Amino acid sequence: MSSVAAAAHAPPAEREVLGVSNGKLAMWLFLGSDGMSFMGLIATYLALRIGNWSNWPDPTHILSIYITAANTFVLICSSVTMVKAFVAAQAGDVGGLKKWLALTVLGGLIFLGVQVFEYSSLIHEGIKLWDTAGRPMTEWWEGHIKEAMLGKSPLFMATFYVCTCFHGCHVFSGVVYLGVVLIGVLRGRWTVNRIEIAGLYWHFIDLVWIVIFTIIYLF
Amino acid sequence: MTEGHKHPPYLAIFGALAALTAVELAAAIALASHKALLIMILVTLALVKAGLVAAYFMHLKFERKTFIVIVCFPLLLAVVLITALFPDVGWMHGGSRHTAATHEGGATGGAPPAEGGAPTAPAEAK
Repeated sequence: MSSVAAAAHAPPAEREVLGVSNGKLAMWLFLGSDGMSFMGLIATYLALRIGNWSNWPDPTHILSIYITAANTFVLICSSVTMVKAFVAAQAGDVGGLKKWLALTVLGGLIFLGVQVFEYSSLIHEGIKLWDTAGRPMTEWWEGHIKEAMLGKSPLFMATFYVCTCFHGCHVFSGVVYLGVVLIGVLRGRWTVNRIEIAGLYWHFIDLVWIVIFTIIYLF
Repeated sequence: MTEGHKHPPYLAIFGALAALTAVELAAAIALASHKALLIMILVTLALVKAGLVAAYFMHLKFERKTFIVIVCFPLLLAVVLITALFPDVGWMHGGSRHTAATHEGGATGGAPPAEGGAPTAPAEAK
């Protein structure tokens, strides 16, 4: 009798199809379509990049690849802390779950902070989407950026900001999402399934960054 | 993910991801003048890293085959998308070679493209 009552009160999200919960299937379907959005931007970047092969600036001369590599490392670390949070959730270790989730949010915040720092220093050196003062583009660039950009395609700047900012918005959403999940954990309202679904989104952000970092920063 | 299976070696995968990132960075610096080789290495490493994240961190390796096929289907669409853009890239390359050719023979002042220019040349001869 009590088991029947428990089954009746089981949250709908725990129902399964194809061996996964409805919520998890929905997150995977979202990630599939979100991945296509990223692929649209990446494919556009590749087409513009290959189409302007000879006059594309060398990104390693403009972008600080060491800082970004360190930032990539931070994102990978936050993926590991997320997976640790999931393991703690499975084991019913609420203290561990809180700790690892908080560390994951912290990793996301550090990533965003470094990206803001990167954007602000690039804008300061003249790598930007537009100039409100209406000056010729060649007057935007300063110092070593000027040498790297003169005679090169300004499409580099647009594609760089659009791809990395679209990803940065996903990281921001992920930080908010995980923050909400963390508040739920603090209030005692969480399930292993919800932690795993949140983890899927976070790992997807990491996965996309691996691709974006490789094609935009290192080629 | 089914209950009761052993956890994947998360820390080993983390180590592999960090090491592969370091290799990517080293390759980008050391092979800057060998673009074709560099791109092949970087794309391979990125695919391996992305595969590790999807298989272990996202637990895809432990899901049912049907489910894996469903969620990997967008990858096929992504390949179609990139392949579909390649004719445009080829056209751009054709265009730049074409411009270079008109500049080489540039005694005519080189304004219009050759397709437009070719039929007018016999007309002028008459």
